[in-house]
Amino acid sequence: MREFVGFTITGLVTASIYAVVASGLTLTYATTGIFNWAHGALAAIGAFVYWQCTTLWGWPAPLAMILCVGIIGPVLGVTVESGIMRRLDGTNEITRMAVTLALLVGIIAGINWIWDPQMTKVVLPVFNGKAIEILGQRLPVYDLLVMAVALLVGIVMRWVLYRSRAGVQMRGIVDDRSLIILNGVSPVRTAQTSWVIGSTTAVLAGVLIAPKTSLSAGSLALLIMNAFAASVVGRLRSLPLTILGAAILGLSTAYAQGYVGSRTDLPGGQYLIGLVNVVPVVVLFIALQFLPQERLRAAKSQQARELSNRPTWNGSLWLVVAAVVVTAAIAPLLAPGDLHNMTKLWGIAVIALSLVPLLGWAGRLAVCPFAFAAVGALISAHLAPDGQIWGLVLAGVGAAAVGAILSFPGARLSPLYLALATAAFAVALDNWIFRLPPFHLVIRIPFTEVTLYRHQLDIFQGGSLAMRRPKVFGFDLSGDQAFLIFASIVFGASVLALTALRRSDLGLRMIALKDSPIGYATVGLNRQVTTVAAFAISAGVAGVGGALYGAAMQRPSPDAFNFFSGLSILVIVVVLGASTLGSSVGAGAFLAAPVLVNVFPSLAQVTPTLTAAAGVSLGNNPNGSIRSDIAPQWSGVGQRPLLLGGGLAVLAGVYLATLGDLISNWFFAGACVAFVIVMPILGRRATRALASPAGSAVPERRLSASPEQLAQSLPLGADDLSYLDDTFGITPGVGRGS
Amino acid sequence: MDLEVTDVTVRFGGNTVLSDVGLDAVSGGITSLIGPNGAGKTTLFNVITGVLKPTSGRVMLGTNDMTSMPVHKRVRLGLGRTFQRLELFGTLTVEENLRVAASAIPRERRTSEVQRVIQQLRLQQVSDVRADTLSTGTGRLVELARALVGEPSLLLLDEPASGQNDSETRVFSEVLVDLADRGMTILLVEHDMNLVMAISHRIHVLDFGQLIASGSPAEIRSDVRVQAAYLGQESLEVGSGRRRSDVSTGAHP
Repeated sequence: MREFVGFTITGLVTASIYAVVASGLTLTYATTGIFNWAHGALAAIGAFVYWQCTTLWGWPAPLAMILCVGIIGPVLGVTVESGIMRRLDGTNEITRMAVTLALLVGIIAGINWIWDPQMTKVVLPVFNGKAIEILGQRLPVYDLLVMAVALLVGIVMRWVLYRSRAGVQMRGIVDDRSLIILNGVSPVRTAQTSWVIGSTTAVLAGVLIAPKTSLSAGSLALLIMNAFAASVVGRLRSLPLTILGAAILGLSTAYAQGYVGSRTDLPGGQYLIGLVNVVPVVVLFIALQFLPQERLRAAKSQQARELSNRPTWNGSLWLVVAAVVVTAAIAPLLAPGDLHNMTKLWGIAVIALSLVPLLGWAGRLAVCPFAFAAVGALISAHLAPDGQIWGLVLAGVGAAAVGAILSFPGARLSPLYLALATAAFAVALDNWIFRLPPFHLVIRIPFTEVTLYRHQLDIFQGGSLAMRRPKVFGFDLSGDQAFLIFASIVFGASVLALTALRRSDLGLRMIALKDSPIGYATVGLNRQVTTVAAFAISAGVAGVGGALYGAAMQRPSPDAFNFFSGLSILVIVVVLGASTLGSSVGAGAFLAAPVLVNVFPSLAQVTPTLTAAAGVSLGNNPNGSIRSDIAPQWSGVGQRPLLLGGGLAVLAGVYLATLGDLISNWFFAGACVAFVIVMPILGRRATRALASPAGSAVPERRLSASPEQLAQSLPLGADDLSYLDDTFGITPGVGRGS
Repeated sequence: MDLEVTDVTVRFGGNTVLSDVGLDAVSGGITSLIGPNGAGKTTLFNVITGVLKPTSGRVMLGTNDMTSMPVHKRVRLGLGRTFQRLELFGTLTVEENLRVAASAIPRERRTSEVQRVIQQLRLQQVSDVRADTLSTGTGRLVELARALVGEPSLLLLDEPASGQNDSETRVFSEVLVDLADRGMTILLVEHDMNLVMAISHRIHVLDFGQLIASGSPAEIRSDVRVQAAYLGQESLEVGSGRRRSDVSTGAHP
C-alpha cells in the first residue's frame, strides 16, 4: 500500500506538469486551429533560460521564474504569432503542421547552438530538501508547489476560455472567422492572446520540469510531446478531459515505472523496461482509437493557396538523367571521406521522395519517414544479409505492409491525429523496439508443442546493424563510387514509378482526396482505402530508401534513424514543394552533402537551423520554392536550348579540365555555382531581347508567372505589383491599402 | 428508385435541427425541398447522403435501408449529390474530376462514361481546364456532371442555381427535366422559386426543422402555412402577380 501511495504521488506530480503543457496546447489549437508541434521546444527554452539564470548566474529562483513566465513566455508567443503563424492564412493543415515542425527543429538546433549539449546541466528545485509527510510518504514541498501551480493554471485557463471576453472571442474566431471580424473583433489580437497564453504555459511547464530531469533540448521536447496524449484524450478542445488525460498519463507512467520498469525479475522483464519509456505513446494510441471518425465538412469559403501540378514524363526523365549523370560525374572528383558521406545522399533522397505522394498528393502527414526507412533497413539487413538485390524489394514491400497496418486504424481520423499516430510510432521504435535485447521469434501451433519457426532475432544487433552493399548482375557495388551511382539509379527508378503513380487513376484519387474529402466520398470512393494506400506506398518507398541509406553507412545505429532527423527531411521537402518530386533531391543534397560541414566545421547546428528558418517562412510561399522561385527563374533557360546547351558545354569543359587535374575541384565548384546564378539571368535577358521590338531600348515587361499561379501564391512581389499598377493605370499606394 | 425518409430527427446537443421529418421522392419526378435559411434543408441532405448520422429515423432508397451505410456505399447504391458550396477537386481538370468519379464504376465503362457525361452537359470546351478556375455557373455544371457519372438513380441537388446566370439556369433546368424524364429521382433544394415552381412535380416545405407542407406547386402556392412561414404574407402580396405568371409557364402538371 505504502508503495502504491508513493507511486500515486509521483504520478500526480508528473500529471500536473503534463496538465500544464497539454492545457496550453489544447487552448492554442482550439482557438487558432494550429497544432503547435513546437510546444515542447518552447518549454525547453523556458527550462534552459531558467537553468542559465539560477545555476550559472545565481539569480534567486522567484526572479528567474518571473523572467521566464512573465517575459520570455509572452514575448515568445507574440514573436511566434506575428513572425510566423500570421502568414499561414489560407494554407492547408499540412503546411501549418510543417511550419510548427520546422519551428521545433529550429528551436532545438538553436538551444544546442547556444548551450553546449555536452555540458551536464542540473537545476535544483526551490525548497530543495524540504518535505512534508502525507499518508506515510515524504512529499517534497517542490512537488506540492508543482501540483498547486497546475491546479491554478487549470482554473485560470478555464475561466479565460469560457468566462472572459477574450476567451469568447478566441472560440468565436475558430467557429466563424468572418462573422467575428464583422462584429468588430481583431483576429490578430485574438490570435496573439492565444499564442501568448500557449507559449507562457509551455515555458512554465519547462521551468517546472527542469529540476526533475537532465536538461537536453531533444529529450525535453520529446518529454513534453508525451503530453500530446493528454490533449488527444481531451480531443483538443475540452480542458477538463485534457486534465483527466494528464492524470491517466502521469499515473500510468508512474505505475509502469514502479511496478515494471525496475523489475527485471518479472517474466520478460528485460523487454518491458523500454516499454516504460513509451507508456505515453501507448496511451496516445489507445486514445486515438476512441476518437470519432473525422466528420466530413463542406469546404471553407477561403480558397487554398496550394497548387498541385501533374509531373510530366519529360520533366521526370530530365530529373532522372540529371541525377545519374551528375552523380557519375561528381563522384570521381570527391575526396574519399566526402565521397563516403555522399553515399547517403540518394538514400535520403528516396526517403524524402516517399513524402511526396503522402503529403503533396494525398494531403496526409506522416512525421516518421525515418521510422519506415528503419523498417526497410532492418528487413534488408536481416532477410538479405549478403546484400542480395531483392533485399531492396523486400524492404519496400515490408515497410509498405507496416505503413498499411499503422495507418489502418487511424485512416478514419483527421490528418492531425494520423500524424500524431505516426509520431507515436516513431518514438516507440526509437525508445523501445530498436533497443530490445535479442529474443527468440517462435511460431507455434496454438495449444500444441509443435514449433513451425524459431529464430533468434537481435533487431539492431547490439546497436550497430551490419548491412552489406548489393551486388547486381556480378557488379560489386561495395565501393563508395559504384554504390553512389547505383543509389542514384534506384532514386531515378523511384521517381519514374511515382510519376506513373501520379498520372494513374490512383494518383488522381489521391489529389481528389486532398482537394475535397467530402466530394471524394460523395462520388462513391472510400477515403480510408485511399489513405491506407497512400501510406503503404509512402512507407514502401521510404523502406527502399532506408535500405539504401543503411547500406551506405554499412553499420547504421538506431540513432541514424531518430525521430528528429526525420523531421528535417520532412521540413525540407515541404519547403521545396511537397507535391514536387524534385524536392527530394534538395533534401538529400542538403542533409548528406559534406559542403556545409566543410565550410562551417564548427557549426554543427547550421543545417537544422537553416532548414528550420526556411520551414518557418512557408507561410509566405506554401507551394514550395521549386514551383514558386526556382522554376520561374529557369523557365527562360528551358525555352532556349542553345543557351542551355552552351552553358552545359562550358561546364562540361571545366569538368574535364578538373578531371584531368588541370584545375582544382574548388574551381569546378565555383563554376557550378556560377552556372546556377548566371544561367537564369541570361535566360531572362534572352527572353526580354526576343520579346522587345527591334531597336526598342525598353524591354517588354511581363508577370513573373501566370496570373493563376500569382493569385495562388500571394502576396505579390514588387515587380509584379508595379507591372499590374502600370497595366491598369493604378496609382501606387491608392486603393490597395498600402 | 424511390427515396423515402421516415421520422428523421437530428439533434446537436440540446438543439433540435430536424424533428420527425418524413418525406419521399419518386422516380421519374423532380421533388423540391424548400424553406427559409436555417430550416434544415442541407442537414436533411447530409442525413440522406450519410455525411451526418441522424439521432433517429430511417432513410430508404428503393428497398435498401441506407440509414447506417457510409457515404461511399450509398453512392454505389445509386446516390449522386451536388453541394451548396462547390466541392470540386480544384487542382484537377474537369475531365480528371469526372475520371475520379468514374473510379467507382467498372474499368471498361470509365472512358465512355466520362465522355458521355461531358457531351451531355456540353462541357467539351472546358474539359481540360482546371476546376478551380471555372466560373461558379460552369462549376455547378461540372459538379452535376460528376454526380451523373455512373448514372445514379437518385440525384440530390443543393441550390444548383445559385451563382448561375439566366441562360445557365435555363440549360440546367432543361437537363434536370430530361434526367427526370429518363426515370431518375431528383431531390432539389433551391431558393430560386421560379425554377422550383417551373420544374417540380412535388414540393416539401421545411421550417425550423419541421415539415410543414407537402404537395404540388399549386398546392404549395396556396398553402397558408407556407405563405406565413416561408414566403411571408406581405412579400407574397407585393410580388404575387409576377411570381405566379412566371411559374405558370412550363410547369409540369
